[in-house]
Amino acid sequence: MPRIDYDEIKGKFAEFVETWKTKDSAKLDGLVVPQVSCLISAAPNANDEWDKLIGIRHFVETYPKTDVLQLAIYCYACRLNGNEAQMAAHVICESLNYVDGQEEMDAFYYAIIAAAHWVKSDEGWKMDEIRLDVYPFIGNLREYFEQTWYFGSKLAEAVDGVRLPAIVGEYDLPWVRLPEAEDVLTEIEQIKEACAKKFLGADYLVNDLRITARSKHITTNAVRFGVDQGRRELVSALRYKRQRDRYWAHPYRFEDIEMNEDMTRAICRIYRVFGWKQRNHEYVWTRSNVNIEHTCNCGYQEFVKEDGEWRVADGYLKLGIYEVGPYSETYYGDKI
Amino acid sequence: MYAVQIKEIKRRENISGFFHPPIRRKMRKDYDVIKQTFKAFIDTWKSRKTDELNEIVKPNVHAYFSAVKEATDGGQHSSFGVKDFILDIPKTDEFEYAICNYVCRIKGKDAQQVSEVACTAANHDGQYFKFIAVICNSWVKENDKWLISEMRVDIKHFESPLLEQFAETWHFEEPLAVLSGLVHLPCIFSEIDSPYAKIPVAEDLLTEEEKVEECFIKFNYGIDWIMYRYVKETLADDFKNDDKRHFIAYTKFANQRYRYTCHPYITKLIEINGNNAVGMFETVIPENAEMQVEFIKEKDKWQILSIESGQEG
Repeated sequence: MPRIDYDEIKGKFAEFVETWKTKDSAKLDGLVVPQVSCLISAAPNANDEWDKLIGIRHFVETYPKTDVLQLAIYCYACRLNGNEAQMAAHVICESLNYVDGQEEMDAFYYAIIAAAHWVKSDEGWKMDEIRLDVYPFIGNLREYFEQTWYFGSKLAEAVDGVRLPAIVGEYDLPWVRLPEAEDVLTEIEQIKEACAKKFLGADYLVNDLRITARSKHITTNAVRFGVDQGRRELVSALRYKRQRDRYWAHPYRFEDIEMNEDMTRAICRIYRVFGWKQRNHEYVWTRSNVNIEHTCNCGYQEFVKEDGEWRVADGYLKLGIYEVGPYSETYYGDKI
Repeated sequence: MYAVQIKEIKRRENISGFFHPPIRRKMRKDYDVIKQTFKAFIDTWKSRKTDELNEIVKPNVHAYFSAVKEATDGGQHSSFGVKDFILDIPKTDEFEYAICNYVCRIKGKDAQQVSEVACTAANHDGQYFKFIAVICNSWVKENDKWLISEMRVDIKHFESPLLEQFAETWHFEEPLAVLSGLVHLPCIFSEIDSPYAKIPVAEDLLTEEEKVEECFIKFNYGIDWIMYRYVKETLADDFKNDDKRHFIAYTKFANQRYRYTCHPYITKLIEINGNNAVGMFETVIPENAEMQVEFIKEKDKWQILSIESGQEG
């Protein structure tokens, strides 16, 4: 029953993410195999400094403590084949501290991009390989985190002793690791997976994923990137923009999807949750918005079914801060 | 300096162009015709004789040249546009080239071909300019004639100071990939224009030696165009130089920020012994660096087992 498997993995990934908040490393026993391999870009001296079970326990137990930790999972994709599965997701993190006598809070806003390989055992699905890339974004608590975590340079450049990202797109993205996957997704999940493929392909510079996730007939207007034509020009420009940076993250939140009757076209309200800097004033975390999730743009995205697959078609996005309501208790942020 | 320079170019010309493996080729007229026609096209850069261009490109060819100043997409279409590009190549006293990294895949009446052409333009005052033109062509067979229907040319300014003629005539971007203002994007988009993407299942026309050579070319194409899936496919799992995954992660991180990287090689030797082969390749720009590459054939596919830098010439 692969659908049950899919749901079990999704639930367990949320449990794993919750351990970052609770620091309950005992829970890991039900989530990872004893011989798990682990690479975390935030480990102080090398990605594999926190390898194996002891390493992932250490990561959970020493996760920098703050008064509030808000977590939201987006861009979740999981492909199953028999007794193995490969999963990837963005986890958007807000670590916040109250400041005595002040409304405004100290903050650190970052993304943890996860890629994990799962295997089915007698005790259910468990991770046997975990890779986490930590992408620091903004906030005055960064220095506090740097006492425990390593971030690396903003730009991609090989220098002596360079630390590479933990995830290598050509190996770790679900569509690469498991090109043949079981058909377990609903139509809406297939649409979301097309989006995840596009954005994780972009974030890890695996551009053939990015290309194949898009409709051939896209006419998206993207004048701000110097192009207003089709798929080739748009992806070419975005790829060029991507090349210089160590990390990118494109977690998107889905709301209010509408599908036509023969289920070949869909349109969805989407928000980019993380990664697009506002021009002058960044978001300010306060006591009153501490439980409110915010995004950095808003728009609509169309999807079309081509050759039996959902693909990303035209859309538009508007830069701006949007508060989208309380954080989800399940950690999965989409509203569809 | 000039004499040495030209002598070096001439020496290369003898061994440049295409690698001819010392065994009988299969019957493959289409492949050979495209190869010769491509060489004839590059010859026009030197001769500036464009009379026979209509035997090479379609009249309505889509043509993009990164050096074209006027259009951000490099578009200068039709056979007139191609002719203009050739005639606008800045004039120098000498012009030499070497065709490197040539791959062509054919399926029926369609073919997709890529090559890195290393060029040296030199003046008698000792000034010279080296550049690499990466050319991706789509070919179609019409009325028993192969013609280029789409041409994409990215020009990388390399190593030597830019000659004034070129600086005045051609457009060059910054060496790092930065998207700003009216940047001219590269004309080639590797995931769409690569021969392997355009013709995923090609006719089996190559000799064993050429298949070995193509493995190395595909590896370099993957590095130059940030298509590390190709690097992954062409490296053997037992790759001796480094852990394969680490090699890919490192090489990608080290190179991804550049607008272009180029690795034009000419093939000097390929020796096959059963399922093992050794290739000797020489870089054209930068000059004279040799690479010795060990290959292994597994599941009917050649892969790279090791790469060693040889002695500089």
